[in-house]
Amino acid sequence: MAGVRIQHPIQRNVRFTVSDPNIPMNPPYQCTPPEFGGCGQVHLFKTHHLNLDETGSVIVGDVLYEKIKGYLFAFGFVETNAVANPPTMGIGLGPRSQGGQWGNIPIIRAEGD
Amino acid sequence: MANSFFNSFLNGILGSHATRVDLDADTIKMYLHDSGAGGTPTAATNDFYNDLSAGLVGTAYTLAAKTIGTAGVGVFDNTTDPAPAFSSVSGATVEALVFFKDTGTPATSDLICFFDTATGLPLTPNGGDVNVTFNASGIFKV
Repeated sequence: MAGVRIQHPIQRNVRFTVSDPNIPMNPPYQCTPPEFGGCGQVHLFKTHHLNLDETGSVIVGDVLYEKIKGYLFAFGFVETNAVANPPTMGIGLGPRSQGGQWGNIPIIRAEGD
Repeated sequence: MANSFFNSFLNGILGSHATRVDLDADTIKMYLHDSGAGGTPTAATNDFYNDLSAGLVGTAYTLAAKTIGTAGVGVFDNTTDPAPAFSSVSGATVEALVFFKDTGTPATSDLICFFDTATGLPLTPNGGDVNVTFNASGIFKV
C-alpha cells in the first residue's frame, strides 16, 4: 500500500489544512504564496495541506496517514480505500517575481534576469 | 522565509574560507526537507547537511546533468528535469527543497541553497513519485 484515499463528508474542492500541535515550527514557516499554489499563511505548527477534489477526496501517503489519522478522523475524514499507484506529484521552480518580492535573493525564478 | 542561499556557501565563494564547493566536480544533491523534524532551513546558521539531515524525506537525488554558465553567466543548472526525482514518497509533509554537496559525511557536506517557496510546496506526499521541474533559466545564479 502506497497511499490512502480519504474523504471529507462535506468539504469539496478546497484546500483543507490540518495542523499538528505537537510539532512546532521553529522558526514559523511562511507558506508559499497563493499565486504559487500555497496558502500564504504563517504556520506555527506542522501543517498538512490537503487539496480535496470535487468528491472531497485526497490521497495521503501511508506513512503520513498513520501519523496524522487521529487528526483526520477528528475533522470528519473517513478512509475510503488504499491506492497502490498514486499519481505523480510535482515541484516547480517557477518564475521569479520582479521588483524584489523575494528580497535580494539571486535565485532564479523567472525567464531572463 | 524565502528561497535563499546558505550564508556559508556564499561566504565560501567570496573566500572567507577555503572554497569547499565545486558545483561542477562535486556530487550535488537535492532532497525533500521536513521542517518539522529537521528544523526550518536558516540561511544564517545552517552550514552543513548535518544541521538539517533529520528532516530528510525519502532519498536525496543526485544531479547528473549539471552545467555552469551554459544557461547564463553565473548560472547553475541541470539540463534535465528529473522525473521522478523522488520515488514513492510517503514520509512527512515537505516544506523545502534543499541543495547540498554530498561528501558522504553529513558534517562536512556543505549546504548550498534551499527553496521553500515554489509551486507544489509545501507538499503533502501521496505515496507516489515526485518530479522536480527546474526553471528554464537555471536553478540559481550567483
